[in-house]
Amino acid sequence: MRGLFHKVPLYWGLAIMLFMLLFPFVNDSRSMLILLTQIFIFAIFAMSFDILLGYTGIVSFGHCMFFGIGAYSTAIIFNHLEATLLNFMIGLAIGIILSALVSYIIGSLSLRLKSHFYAMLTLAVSQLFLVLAEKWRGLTHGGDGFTFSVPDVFKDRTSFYYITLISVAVVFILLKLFTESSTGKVLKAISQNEYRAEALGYKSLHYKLIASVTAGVAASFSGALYAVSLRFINTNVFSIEVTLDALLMTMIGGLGTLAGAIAGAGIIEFLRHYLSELAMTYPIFERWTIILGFLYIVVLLVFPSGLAGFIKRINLKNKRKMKKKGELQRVA
Amino acid sequence: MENILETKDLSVSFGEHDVIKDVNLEIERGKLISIIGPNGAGKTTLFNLLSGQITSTKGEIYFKNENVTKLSVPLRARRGIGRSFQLTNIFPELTVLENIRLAIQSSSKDYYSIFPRLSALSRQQDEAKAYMKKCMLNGKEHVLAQDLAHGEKRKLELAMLLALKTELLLLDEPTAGISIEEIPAILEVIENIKKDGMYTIVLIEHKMEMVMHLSDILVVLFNGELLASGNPQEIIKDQRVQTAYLGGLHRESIKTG
Ligand SMILES: Nc1ncnc2c1ncn2[C@@H]1O[C@H](COP(=O)(O)OP(=O)(O)OP(=O)(O)O)[C@@H](O)[C@H]1O
Ligand SMILES: [Mg+2]
Repeated sequence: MRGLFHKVPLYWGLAIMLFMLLFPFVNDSRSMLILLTQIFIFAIFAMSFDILLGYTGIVSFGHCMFFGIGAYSTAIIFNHLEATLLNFMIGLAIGIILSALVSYIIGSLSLRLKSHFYAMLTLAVSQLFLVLAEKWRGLTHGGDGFTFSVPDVFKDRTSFYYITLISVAVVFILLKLFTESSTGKVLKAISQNEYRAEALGYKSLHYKLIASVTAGVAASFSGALYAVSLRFINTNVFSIEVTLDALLMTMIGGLGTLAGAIAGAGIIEFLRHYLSELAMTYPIFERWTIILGFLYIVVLLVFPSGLAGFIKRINLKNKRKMKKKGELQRVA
Repeated sequence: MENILETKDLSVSFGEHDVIKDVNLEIERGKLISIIGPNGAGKTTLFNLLSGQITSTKGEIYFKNENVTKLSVPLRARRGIGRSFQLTNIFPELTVLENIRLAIQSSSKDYYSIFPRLSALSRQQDEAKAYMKKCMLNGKEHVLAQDLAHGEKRKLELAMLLALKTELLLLDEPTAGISIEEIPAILEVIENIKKDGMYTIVLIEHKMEMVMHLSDILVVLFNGELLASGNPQEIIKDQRVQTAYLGGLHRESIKTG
Protein backbone atom coordinates (compact mmCIF):
# COMPACT_ATOMS: atom_id res chain seq x y z
CA MET A 1 0.00 0.00 0.00
CA ARG A 2 2.73 2.41 0.96
CA GLY A 3 4.82 1.16 -1.93
CA LEU A 4 2.21 2.46 -4.30
CA PHE A 5 2.18 5.90 -2.70
CA HIS A 6 5.89 6.06 -3.15
CA LYS A 7 5.85 5.07 -6.78
CA VAL A 8 3.01 7.15 -8.18
CA PRO A 9 4.51 10.55 -7.28
CA LEU A 10 7.79 9.48 -8.90
CA TYR A 11 6.08 8.97 -12.28
CA TRP A 12 4.22 12.20 -11.80
CA GLY A 13 7.39 14.00 -10.90
CA LEU A 14 9.16 12.74 -14.00
CA ALA A 15 6.19 13.67 -16.20
CA ILE A 16 6.01 17.17 -14.78
CA MET A 17 9.75 17.58 -15.14
CA LEU A 18 9.58 16.49 -18.79
CA PHE A 19 6.73 18.89 -19.43
CA MET A 20 8.62 21.75 -17.82
CA LEU A 21 11.74 20.92 -19.83
CA LEU A 22 9.77 21.08 -23.08
CA PHE A 23 7.63 24.04 -22.09
CA PRO A 24 9.81 26.84 -23.52
CA PHE A 25 9.59 25.14 -26.94
CA VAL A 26 5.80 25.14 -26.82
CA ASN A 27 5.16 28.50 -25.28
CA ASP A 28 7.84 31.14 -25.26
CA SER A 29 5.71 33.92 -23.83
CA ARG A 30 8.10 36.02 -21.80
CA SER A 31 5.73 36.68 -18.94
CA MET A 32 4.91 32.99 -18.62
CA LEU A 33 8.58 32.06 -18.41
CA ILE A 34 9.15 34.75 -15.80
CA LEU A 35 6.20 33.52 -13.79
CA LEU A 36 7.40 29.93 -13.88
CA THR A 37 10.92 31.00 -12.95
CA GLN A 38 9.47 32.82 -9.97
CA ILE A 39 7.56 29.68 -9.00
CA PHE A 40 10.70 27.56 -9.13
CA ILE A 41 12.56 29.99 -6.91
CA PHE A 42 9.78 30.11 -4.36
CA ALA A 43 9.40 26.34 -4.54
CA ILE A 44 12.95 26.03 -3.21
CA PHE A 45 12.15 28.52 -0.50
CA ALA A 46 8.93 26.72 0.46
CA MET A 47 10.71 23.35 0.56
CA SER A 48 13.29 24.79 2.93
CA PHE A 49 10.49 25.91 5.20
CA ASP A 50 8.89 22.48 4.97
CA ILE A 51 12.05 20.88 6.36
CA LEU A 52 11.58 23.01 9.45
CA LEU A 53 7.85 23.00 9.97
CA GLY A 54 6.69 19.90 8.13
CA TYR A 55 9.43 17.45 8.96
CA THR A 56 10.72 18.60 12.31
CA GLY A 57 7.78 20.56 13.71
CA ILE A 58 9.81 23.71 14.33
CA VAL A 59 7.90 26.96 13.89
CA SER A 60 9.84 29.91 12.50
CA PHE A 61 8.44 33.42 12.12
CA GLY A 62 11.60 34.77 10.57
CA HIS A 63 12.49 32.42 7.76
CA CYS A 64 12.70 35.41 5.39
CA MET A 65 16.04 36.33 6.95
CA PHE A 66 17.83 33.46 5.20
CA PHE A 67 16.13 34.35 1.94
CA GLY A 68 17.28 37.92 2.45
CA ILE A 69 20.81 36.97 3.47
CA GLY A 70 21.18 34.94 0.27
CA ALA A 71 19.68 37.70 -1.85
CA TYR A 72 21.78 40.50 -0.38
CA SER A 73 25.03 38.52 -0.46
CA THR A 74 24.67 37.92 -4.18
CA ALA A 75 23.41 41.43 -4.94
CA ILE A 76 26.18 43.15 -3.02
CA ILE A 77 28.85 41.04 -4.70
CA PHE A 78 27.46 41.91 -8.15
CA ASN A 79 27.27 45.55 -7.14
CA HIS A 80 30.97 45.63 -6.33
CA LEU A 81 32.49 43.01 -8.60
CA GLU A 82 32.01 42.01 -12.22
CA ALA A 83 28.97 40.07 -13.35
CA THR A 84 30.63 36.69 -13.79
CA LEU A 85 29.53 33.20 -12.86
CA LEU A 86 32.49 32.86 -10.51
CA ASN A 87 31.36 35.93 -8.60
CA PHE A 88 27.87 34.47 -8.42
CA MET A 89 29.37 31.38 -6.82
CA ILE A 90 31.25 33.56 -4.36
CA GLY A 91 28.11 35.50 -3.45
CA LEU A 92 26.16 32.29 -3.13
CA ALA A 93 28.83 30.75 -0.90
CA ILE A 94 28.93 33.83 1.34
CA GLY A 95 25.15 33.77 1.68
CA ILE A 96 25.13 30.07 2.47
CA ILE A 97 27.89 30.29 5.05
CA LEU A 98 26.28 33.31 6.71
CA SER A 99 22.89 31.59 6.79
CA ALA A 100 24.36 28.41 8.20
CA LEU A 101 26.09 30.39 10.93
CA VAL A 102 23.05 32.50 11.80
CA SER A 103 20.70 29.51 11.86
CA TYR A 104 23.17 27.55 13.94
CA ILE A 105 23.53 30.31 16.49
CA ILE A 106 19.80 31.01 16.72
CA GLY A 107 19.15 27.28 16.97
CA SER A 108 21.65 26.58 19.70
CA LEU A 109 20.35 29.54 21.68
CA SER A 110 16.70 28.61 21.49
CA LEU A 111 16.04 25.06 20.34
CA ARG A 112 16.74 23.47 23.71
CA LEU A 113 13.96 25.60 25.16
CA LYS A 114 10.23 25.40 24.46
CA SER A 115 9.36 25.59 20.79
CA HIS A 116 8.02 29.14 20.73
CA PHE A 117 11.42 30.53 21.72
CA TYR A 118 12.76 29.63 18.29
CA ALA A 119 9.75 31.25 16.64
CA MET A 120 10.20 34.47 18.61
CA LEU A 121 13.97 34.59 18.25
CA THR A 122 13.83 34.09 14.47
CA LEU A 123 11.24 36.86 14.26
CA ALA A 124 13.41 39.21 16.32
CA VAL A 125 16.62 38.47 14.42
CA SER A 126 14.91 38.80 11.04
CA GLN A 127 13.65 42.22 12.07
CA LEU A 128 17.19 43.04 13.12
CA PHE A 129 18.38 42.18 9.62
CA LEU A 130 15.65 44.39 8.17
CA VAL A 131 16.84 47.32 10.26
CA LEU A 132 20.45 46.55 9.37
CA ALA A 133 19.61 46.57 5.66
CA GLU A 134 17.82 49.89 6.04
CA LYS A 135 20.54 51.59 8.06
CA TRP A 136 23.70 50.28 6.45
CA ARG A 137 23.16 52.49 3.42
CA GLY A 138 26.75 52.33 2.22
CA LEU A 139 26.31 48.68 1.47
CA THR A 140 22.58 48.33 0.81
CA HIS A 141 21.37 51.77 -0.31
CA GLY A 142 18.71 51.48 2.39
CA GLY A 143 15.05 50.96 1.66
CA ASP A 144 15.37 52.16 -1.96
CA GLY A 145 17.66 49.31 -2.80
CA PHE A 146 19.83 49.15 -5.90
CA THR A 147 20.02 47.52 -9.29
CA PHE A 148 22.96 45.50 -10.51
CA SER A 149 23.91 43.51 -13.55
CA VAL A 150 24.18 39.74 -13.72
CA PRO A 151 25.98 37.25 -16.00
CA ASP A 152 24.46 36.81 -19.48
CA VAL A 153 23.20 33.27 -18.82
CA PHE A 154 21.06 34.71 -16.07
CA LYS A 155 19.85 37.59 -18.23
CA ASP A 156 18.53 35.34 -20.93
CA ARG A 157 15.01 34.37 -19.78
CA THR A 158 15.10 30.92 -21.33
CA SER A 159 18.47 29.91 -19.98
CA PHE A 160 17.61 31.32 -16.54
CA TYR A 161 14.36 29.36 -16.71
CA TYR A 162 16.37 26.16 -17.16
CA ILE A 163 18.83 27.08 -14.43
CA THR A 164 16.06 27.58 -11.89
CA LEU A 165 14.20 24.49 -13.08
CA ILE A 166 17.27 22.34 -12.60
CA SER A 167 17.89 24.00 -9.26
CA VAL A 168 14.43 23.00 -8.02
CA ALA A 169 14.93 19.46 -9.24
CA VAL A 170 18.35 19.16 -7.61
CA VAL A 171 17.25 20.71 -4.33
CA PHE A 172 14.16 18.49 -4.32
CA ILE A 173 16.21 15.35 -4.85
CA LEU A 174 18.80 16.33 -2.25
CA LEU A 175 16.19 17.19 0.35
CA LYS A 176 14.22 14.06 -0.48
CA LEU A 177 17.31 11.93 0.07
CA PHE A 178 17.95 13.84 3.27
CA THR A 179 14.45 13.20 4.59
CA GLU A 180 14.69 9.52 3.67
CA SER A 181 18.04 9.18 5.42
CA SER A 182 18.53 8.06 9.01
CA THR A 183 18.72 11.67 10.10
CA GLY A 184 15.51 12.50 8.24
CA LYS A 185 13.67 9.62 9.90
CA VAL A 186 14.71 10.89 13.29
CA LEU A 187 13.47 14.38 12.39
CA LYS A 188 10.04 12.92 11.65
CA ALA A 189 10.16 10.96 14.88
CA ILE A 190 11.07 14.07 16.88
CA SER A 191 8.18 16.02 15.38
CA GLN A 192 5.80 13.31 16.60
CA ASN A 193 7.24 12.50 19.98
CA GLU A 194 10.41 14.22 21.07
CA TYR A 195 10.39 12.60 24.49
CA ARG A 196 10.37 9.12 22.98
CA ALA A 197 13.08 9.96 20.47
CA GLU A 198 15.36 11.00 23.32
CA ALA A 199 14.60 7.80 25.20
CA LEU A 200 15.73 5.92 22.09
CA GLY A 201 19.12 7.58 22.32
CA TYR A 202 18.70 10.48 19.89
CA LYS A 203 19.87 13.90 21.05
CA SER A 204 16.98 15.94 19.77
CA LEU A 205 18.82 19.26 19.95
CA HIS A 206 21.36 18.04 17.39
CA TYR A 207 18.63 17.03 14.97
CA LYS A 208 16.76 20.29 15.32
CA LEU A 209 20.00 22.13 14.65
CA ILE A 210 20.61 20.04 11.55
CA ALA A 211 17.10 20.84 10.31
CA SER A 212 17.51 24.52 11.12
CA VAL A 213 20.82 24.81 9.28
CA THR A 214 19.61 22.79 6.28
CA ALA A 215 16.55 24.99 5.98
CA GLY A 216 18.63 28.14 6.32
CA VAL A 217 21.06 27.05 3.62
CA ALA A 218 18.35 26.09 1.14
CA ALA A 219 16.47 29.33 1.78
CA SER A 220 19.64 31.29 1.20
CA PHE A 221 20.07 29.60 -2.18
CA SER A 222 16.55 30.55 -3.23
CA GLY A 223 17.19 34.11 -2.10
CA ALA A 224 20.29 34.33 -4.29
CA LEU A 225 18.30 33.15 -7.31
CA TYR A 226 15.56 35.62 -6.45
CA ALA A 227 17.95 38.58 -6.43
CA VAL A 228 19.42 37.47 -9.75
CA SER A 229 15.94 37.11 -11.28
CA LEU A 230 15.03 40.72 -10.41
CA ARG A 231 18.50 42.22 -10.93
CA PHE A 232 17.36 44.53 -8.17
CA ILE A 233 17.16 44.32 -4.42
CA ASN A 234 15.61 46.24 -1.58
CA THR A 235 14.67 45.56 2.01
CA ASN A 236 11.43 43.81 0.99
CA VAL A 237 13.29 40.49 1.02
CA PHE A 238 13.42 40.77 4.80
CA SER A 239 9.71 41.55 5.19
CA ILE A 240 7.38 39.32 7.16
CA GLU A 241 5.31 38.73 4.00
CA VAL A 242 8.14 36.61 2.63
CA THR A 243 7.89 34.35 5.67
CA LEU A 244 4.11 34.25 5.36
CA ASP A 245 4.45 33.24 1.70
CA ALA A 246 6.54 30.26 2.73
CA LEU A 247 4.04 29.35 5.41
CA LEU A 248 1.08 29.61 3.04
CA MET A 249 2.81 27.63 0.30
CA THR A 250 3.76 24.74 2.55
CA MET A 251 0.38 24.72 4.29
CA ILE A 252 -1.55 24.66 1.02
CA GLY A 253 0.62 21.97 -0.50
CA GLY A 254 0.70 19.86 2.63
CA LEU A 255 3.30 19.83 5.37
CA GLY A 256 6.08 17.31 5.34
CA THR A 257 5.87 16.32 1.69
CA LEU A 258 8.32 18.59 -0.21
CA ALA A 259 6.32 18.01 -3.41
CA GLY A 260 3.45 19.76 -1.66
CA ALA A 261 5.66 22.78 -1.09
CA ILE A 262 6.37 22.96 -4.83
CA ALA A 263 2.67 22.70 -5.65
CA GLY A 264 1.90 25.34 -3.04
CA ALA A 265 4.46 27.70 -4.54
CA GLY A 266 2.82 27.18 -7.95
CA ILE A 267 -0.67 27.88 -6.66
CA ILE A 268 0.26 31.00 -4.73
CA GLU A 269 2.41 32.52 -7.44
CA PHE A 270 -0.21 31.86 -10.15
CA LEU A 271 -2.91 33.40 -7.97
CA ARG A 272 -0.76 36.39 -7.18
CA HIS A 273 -0.04 36.87 -10.87
CA TYR A 274 -3.64 36.62 -12.10
CA LEU A 275 -5.18 38.47 -9.21
CA SER A 276 -2.87 41.42 -9.69
CA GLU A 277 -3.68 41.34 -13.42
CA LEU A 278 -7.38 41.31 -12.62
CA ALA A 279 -6.79 44.23 -10.31
CA MET A 280 -6.11 46.39 -13.35
CA THR A 281 -9.74 46.01 -14.45
CA TYR A 282 -11.39 45.31 -11.10
CA PRO A 283 -9.73 47.37 -8.41
CA ILE A 284 -11.17 45.10 -5.72
CA PHE A 285 -8.49 42.55 -6.58
CA GLU A 286 -5.82 44.98 -5.52
CA ARG A 287 -6.46 43.54 -2.14
CA TRP A 288 -5.30 40.15 -3.29
CA THR A 289 -3.43 39.63 -0.05
CA ILE A 290 -6.82 39.55 1.64
CA ILE A 291 -7.95 36.96 -0.87
CA LEU A 292 -4.88 34.92 -0.05
CA GLY A 293 -5.80 35.28 3.60
CA PHE A 294 -9.25 33.86 2.87
CA LEU A 295 -7.66 31.08 0.88
CA TYR A 296 -5.54 30.30 3.89
CA ILE A 297 -8.60 29.95 6.11
CA VAL A 298 -10.34 27.78 3.53
CA VAL A 299 -7.28 25.57 3.36
CA LEU A 300 -7.23 25.18 7.12
CA LEU A 301 -10.92 24.27 7.20
CA VAL A 302 -11.25 22.08 4.13
CA PHE A 303 -7.83 20.50 3.72
CA PRO A 304 -6.26 20.59 7.15
CA SER A 305 -3.39 18.45 5.92
CA GLY A 306 -2.92 20.34 2.67
CA LEU A 307 -3.35 19.23 -0.90
CA ALA A 308 -1.10 16.20 -0.43
CA GLY A 309 -3.09 15.06 2.59
CA PHE A 310 -6.33 15.56 0.66
CA ILE A 311 -5.12 13.41 -2.25
CA LYS A 312 -3.90 10.74 0.14
CA ARG A 313 -7.27 10.73 1.88
CA ILE A 314 -9.16 10.34 -1.40
CA ASN A 315 -6.86 7.50 -2.42
CA LEU A 316 -7.43 5.82 0.90
CA LYS A 317 -11.20 6.20 0.61
CA ASN A 318 -11.19 4.66 -2.86
CA LYS A 319 -9.11 1.80 -1.64
CA ARG A 320 -11.43 1.20 1.31
CA LYS A 321 -14.40 1.25 -1.05
CA MET A 322 -12.70 -1.23 -3.33
CA LYS A 323 -11.84 -3.42 -0.38
CA LYS A 324 -15.45 -3.29 0.84
CA LYS A 325 -16.71 -4.20 -2.62
CA GLY A 326 -14.32 -7.15 -2.68
CA GLU A 327 -15.55 -8.30 0.70
CA LEU A 328 -19.18 -7.99 -0.36
CA GLN A 329 -18.50 -10.02 -3.48
CA ARG A 330 -16.82 -12.68 -1.42
CA VAL A 331 -19.79 -12.82 0.92
CA ALA A 332 -22.27 -13.00 -1.94
CA MET B 1 26.60 -12.19 40.19
CA GLU B 2 27.49 -8.58 39.54
CA ASN B 3 25.04 -5.74 39.91
CA ILE B 4 24.02 -4.06 36.70
CA LEU B 5 22.51 -1.11 38.51
CA GLU B 6 23.06 0.45 41.91
CA THR B 7 21.70 3.57 43.51
CA LYS B 8 23.26 5.31 46.49
CA ASP B 9 21.00 7.46 48.69
CA LEU B 10 19.01 8.45 45.63
CA SER B 11 16.58 11.23 46.51
CA VAL B 12 14.45 13.76 44.74
CA SER B 13 12.07 16.40 45.97
CA PHE B 14 9.66 18.66 44.16
CA GLY B 15 9.61 21.84 46.20
CA GLU B 16 8.81 20.79 49.75
CA HIS B 17 7.64 17.38 48.70
CA ASP B 18 10.23 14.59 49.11
CA VAL B 19 9.11 12.01 46.58
CA ILE B 20 12.11 9.64 46.66
CA LYS B 21 14.03 9.38 49.90
CA ASP B 22 17.49 7.82 50.20
CA VAL B 23 16.81 4.81 48.02
CA ASN B 24 19.62 2.27 47.93
CA LEU B 25 18.84 -0.25 45.27
CA GLU B 26 20.99 -3.07 43.96
CA ILE B 27 19.86 -4.87 40.86
CA GLU B 28 21.54 -8.07 39.87
CA ARG B 29 22.17 -8.72 36.21
CA GLY B 30 19.77 -11.14 34.53
CA LYS B 31 17.07 -10.97 37.19
CA LEU B 32 13.50 -9.79 37.03
CA ILE B 33 12.74 -7.34 39.78
CA SER B 34 9.27 -6.06 40.49
CA ILE B 35 8.59 -2.81 42.26
CA ILE B 36 5.27 -2.58 44.03
CA GLY B 37 3.75 0.13 46.13
CA PRO B 38 0.54 2.11 46.42
CA ASN B 39 -0.38 4.90 44.01
CA GLY B 40 1.84 7.90 44.47
CA ALA B 41 4.57 5.88 46.21
CA GLY B 42 7.11 7.25 43.74
CA LYS B 43 7.58 4.25 41.44
CA THR B 44 7.35 6.19 38.18
CA THR B 45 9.50 8.95 39.67
CA LEU B 46 12.15 6.36 40.51
CA PHE B 47 12.10 5.22 36.85
CA ASN B 48 12.35 8.83 35.70
CA LEU B 49 15.47 9.18 37.83
CA LEU B 50 17.00 5.98 36.49
CA SER B 51 16.39 6.79 32.83
CA GLY B 52 17.28 10.46 33.25
CA GLN B 53 13.99 12.24 32.59
CA ILE B 54 14.50 14.04 35.89
CA THR B 55 17.68 14.66 37.86
CA SER B 56 18.13 13.72 41.47
CA THR B 57 18.51 16.26 44.24
CA LYS B 58 20.84 13.88 46.07
CA GLY B 59 22.58 10.57 45.55
CA GLU B 60 24.11 8.64 42.69
CA ILE B 61 23.20 6.08 40.09
CA TYR B 62 25.73 3.52 38.87
CA PHE B 63 25.05 1.54 35.73
CA LYS B 64 27.57 -1.19 35.03
CA ASN B 65 29.86 0.47 37.57
CA GLU B 66 29.76 3.79 35.73
CA ASN B 67 28.34 6.82 37.46
CA VAL B 68 25.50 7.90 35.14
CA THR B 69 23.83 10.35 37.54
CA LYS B 70 24.62 13.36 35.37
CA LEU B 71 24.04 11.80 31.94
CA SER B 72 21.20 12.95 29.68
CA VAL B 73 18.35 10.69 28.58
CA PRO B 74 19.79 9.84 25.14
CA LEU B 75 23.21 9.04 26.57
CA ARG B 76 21.74 6.68 29.15
CA ALA B 77 19.67 5.04 26.43
CA ARG B 78 22.82 4.53 24.39
CA ARG B 79 24.52 2.87 27.36
CA GLY B 80 21.71 0.34 27.62
CA ILE B 81 19.00 1.70 29.89
CA GLY B 82 15.67 1.44 28.11
CA ARG B 83 12.23 2.10 29.43
CA SER B 84 8.61 1.84 28.57
CA PHE B 85 6.15 4.35 29.89
CA GLN B 86 3.03 4.14 32.00
CA LEU B 87 1.12 5.82 29.18
CA THR B 88 2.10 4.24 25.88
CA ASN B 89 4.78 6.22 24.22
CA ILE B 90 5.39 5.51 20.55
CA PHE B 91 5.52 7.43 17.28
CA PRO B 92 1.81 7.46 16.38
CA GLU B 93 2.05 8.40 12.71
CA LEU B 94 4.80 5.97 11.84
CA THR B 95 4.15 2.33 11.03
CA VAL B 96 5.08 -0.47 13.38
CA LEU B 97 8.05 -1.28 11.20
CA GLU B 98 9.24 2.34 11.14
CA ASN B 99 8.91 2.58 14.91
CA ILE B 100 11.07 -0.49 15.42
CA ARG B 101 13.51 0.59 12.74
CA LEU B 102 14.17 3.83 14.61
CA ALA B 103 15.25 1.76 17.60
CA ILE B 104 17.46 -0.47 15.44
CA GLN B 105 18.99 2.57 13.81
CA SER B 106 19.94 3.89 17.23
CA SER B 107 21.39 0.60 18.46
CA SER B 108 23.47 0.28 15.28
CA LYS B 109 24.83 3.77 15.99
CA ASP B 110 23.51 5.13 12.73
CA TYR B 111 22.71 8.52 14.18
CA TYR B 112 23.58 11.18 11.67
CA SER B 113 23.92 9.82 8.14
CA ILE B 114 22.30 12.21 5.68
CA PHE B 115 21.95 9.90 2.69
CA PRO B 116 19.75 6.83 2.72
CA ARG B 117 21.62 3.55 2.74
CA LEU B 118 19.66 0.87 1.01
CA SER B 119 21.78 -2.02 2.27
CA ALA B 120 21.23 -0.94 5.85
CA LEU B 121 17.51 -0.57 5.17
CA SER B 122 16.93 -4.15 4.12
CA ARG B 123 19.08 -5.50 6.92
CA GLN B 124 17.13 -3.41 9.42
CA GLN B 125 13.92 -4.69 7.88
CA ASP B 126 14.88 -8.30 8.58
CA GLU B 127 16.02 -7.48 12.07
CA ALA B 128 12.79 -5.62 12.79
CA LYS B 129 10.74 -8.60 11.67
CA ALA B 130 12.58 -10.81 14.15
CA TYR B 131 11.68 -8.47 17.01
CA MET B 132 8.10 -8.29 15.81
CA LYS B 133 7.89 -12.05 15.94
CA LYS B 134 9.31 -12.17 19.43
CA CYS B 135 6.72 -9.66 20.58
CA MET B 136 3.83 -11.30 18.71
CA LEU B 137 3.26 -8.49 16.27
CA ASN B 138 3.43 -10.56 13.09
CA GLY B 139 1.69 -9.10 10.08
CA LYS B 140 1.36 -5.64 11.59
CA GLU B 141 4.45 -4.08 10.01
CA HIS B 142 2.58 -1.58 7.85
CA VAL B 143 -0.08 -0.61 10.38
CA LEU B 144 0.26 2.90 11.76
CA ALA B 145 1.17 2.72 15.43
CA GLN B 146 -1.83 4.87 16.33
CA ASP B 147 -4.19 2.30 14.77
CA LEU B 148 -2.95 -0.57 16.96
CA ALA B 149 -5.06 -1.98 19.77
CA HIS B 150 -3.87 -0.91 23.17
CA GLY B 151 -2.22 -4.22 24.00
CA GLU B 152 -0.42 -4.19 20.67
CA LYS B 153 0.98 -0.76 21.41
CA ARG B 154 2.41 -2.24 24.60
CA LYS B 155 3.97 -5.03 22.58
CA LEU B 156 5.40 -2.49 20.17
CA GLU B 157 7.04 -0.68 23.06
CA LEU B 158 8.62 -3.93 24.17
CA ALA B 159 9.79 -4.68 20.64
CA MET B 160 11.39 -1.24 20.46
CA LEU B 161 13.23 -1.84 23.72
CA LEU B 162 14.59 -5.13 22.43
CA ALA B 163 15.56 -3.52 19.14
CA LEU B 164 17.38 -0.85 21.10
CA LYS B 165 19.49 -3.70 22.52
CA THR B 166 18.83 -2.48 26.03
CA GLU B 167 20.37 -4.53 28.76
CA LEU B 168 18.16 -3.04 31.44
CA LEU B 169 14.46 -2.83 30.70
CA LEU B 170 12.43 -0.54 32.92
CA LEU B 171 8.78 -1.46 32.34
CA ASP B 172 6.26 0.90 33.89
CA GLU B 173 2.96 -0.96 34.24
CA PRO B 174 3.03 -2.73 30.88
CA THR B 175 -0.52 -3.96 31.46
CA ALA B 176 -2.00 -0.61 32.47
CA GLY B 177 -5.19 0.20 30.64
CA ILE B 178 -5.33 -2.87 28.43
CA SER B 179 -8.21 -5.30 28.31
CA ILE B 180 -8.17 -8.52 30.33
CA GLU B 181 -8.05 -10.64 27.17
CA GLU B 182 -4.83 -8.95 26.09
CA ILE B 183 -2.96 -9.47 29.35
CA PRO B 184 -1.86 -13.11 28.85
CA ALA B 185 -0.13 -12.16 25.59
CA ILE B 186 1.84 -9.36 27.27
CA LEU B 187 2.73 -11.73 30.07
CA GLU B 188 3.96 -14.27 27.56
CA VAL B 189 6.12 -11.69 25.79
CA ILE B 190 7.70 -10.62 29.06
CA GLU B 191 8.29 -14.24 30.00
CA ASN B 192 9.95 -14.86 26.64
CA ILE B 193 12.20 -11.86 27.12
CA LYS B 194 13.12 -13.08 30.57
CA LYS B 195 13.83 -16.59 29.28
CA ASP B 196 16.36 -15.16 26.82
CA GLY B 197 18.60 -14.47 29.79
CA MET B 198 20.26 -11.45 28.17
CA TYR B 199 18.10 -8.89 29.86
CA THR B 200 17.62 -7.47 33.31
CA ILE B 201 14.04 -6.40 33.81
CA VAL B 202 12.60 -4.02 36.37
CA LEU B 203 8.85 -4.15 36.40
CA ILE B 204 6.38 -1.80 38.02
CA GLU B 205 3.10 -3.63 38.32
CA HIS B 206 -0.08 -3.57 40.35
CA LYS B 207 -1.39 -6.97 39.30
CA MET B 208 -0.20 -9.18 42.15
CA GLU B 209 -0.64 -12.60 40.49
CA MET B 210 1.52 -11.41 37.63
CA VAL B 211 4.14 -10.02 40.00
CA MET B 212 4.29 -13.22 42.04
CA HIS B 213 4.47 -15.32 38.91
CA LEU B 214 7.30 -13.39 37.21
CA SER B 215 9.56 -11.92 39.88
CA ASP B 216 12.87 -13.14 41.20
CA ILE B 217 13.06 -10.22 43.59
CA LEU B 218 10.29 -8.07 44.98
CA VAL B 219 10.89 -4.48 46.06
CA VAL B 220 8.34 -2.48 48.02
CA LEU B 221 8.32 1.28 47.75
CA PHE B 222 6.24 3.26 50.20
CA ASN B 223 6.14 7.04 50.51
CA GLY B 224 9.32 7.26 48.48
CA GLU B 225 11.21 4.89 50.76
CA LEU B 226 12.47 1.41 50.14
CA LEU B 227 10.38 -0.56 52.61
CA ALA B 228 11.56 -4.07 51.85
CA SER B 229 13.26 -6.10 49.17
CA GLY B 230 13.95 -9.77 48.69
CA ASN B 231 12.30 -13.08 47.90
CA PRO B 232 8.73 -12.41 46.76
CA GLN B 233 7.17 -15.12 48.92
CA GLU B 234 8.81 -13.76 52.04
CA ILE B 235 8.26 -10.12 51.24
CA ILE B 236 4.57 -10.55 50.77
CA LYS B 237 4.28 -12.07 54.25
CA ASP B 238 6.21 -9.21 55.88
CA GLN B 239 4.01 -7.44 58.41
CA ARG B 240 5.11 -3.91 57.41
CA VAL B 241 4.41 -4.66 53.79
CA GLN B 242 1.02 -6.04 54.68
CA THR B 243 -0.02 -2.87 56.47
CA ALA B 244 1.67 -0.42 54.10
CA TYR B 245 1.00 -1.88 50.71
CA LEU B 246 -2.22 -3.70 51.31
CA GLY B 247 -3.43 -0.64 53.18
CA GLY B 248 -2.55 1.35 50.09
CA LEU B 249 -4.37 -1.11 47.88
CA HIS B 250 -7.34 -0.79 50.12
CA ARG B 251 -7.31 2.99 49.71
CA GLU B 252 -7.05 2.53 46.00
CA SER B 253 -10.06 0.26 45.86
CA ILE B 254 -12.08 2.73 47.88
CA LYS B 255 -11.04 5.50 45.50
CA THR B 256 -12.01 3.63 42.37
CA GLY B 257 -14.99 1.82 43.84
N1 LIG C 1 7.23 16.49 38.17
C1 LIG C 1 6.60 16.44 39.37
N2 LIG C 1 6.37 17.58 40.06
C2 LIG C 1 5.75 17.53 41.26
N3 LIG C 1 5.33 16.40 41.85
C3 LIG C 1 5.51 15.24 41.20
C4 LIG C 1 6.15 15.19 39.92
N4 LIG C 1 6.21 13.91 39.51
C5 LIG C 1 5.62 13.19 40.49
N5 LIG C 1 5.21 13.98 41.51
C6 LIG C 1 4.56 13.52 42.75
O1 LIG C 1 5.33 12.47 43.25
C7 LIG C 1 4.50 11.47 43.84
C8 LIG C 1 4.83 10.13 43.25
O2 LIG C 1 4.40 10.04 41.91
P1 LIG C 1 4.69 8.79 40.99
O3 LIG C 1 4.09 9.08 39.68
O4 LIG C 1 6.12 8.47 41.03
O5 LIG C 1 3.86 7.64 41.73
P2 LIG C 1 3.65 6.13 41.29
O6 LIG C 1 4.18 5.31 42.38
O7 LIG C 1 4.18 5.90 39.93
O8 LIG C 1 2.05 6.04 41.29
P3 LIG C 1 1.08 5.22 40.31
O9 LIG C 1 0.98 3.84 40.88
O10 LIG C 1 -0.21 5.95 40.44
O11 LIG C 1 1.64 5.27 38.94
C9 LIG C 1 3.08 11.91 43.59
O12 LIG C 1 2.59 12.49 44.78
C10 LIG C 1 3.19 12.93 42.51
O13 LIG C 1 2.19 13.90 42.63
MG1 LIG D 1 3.42 5.41 38.09
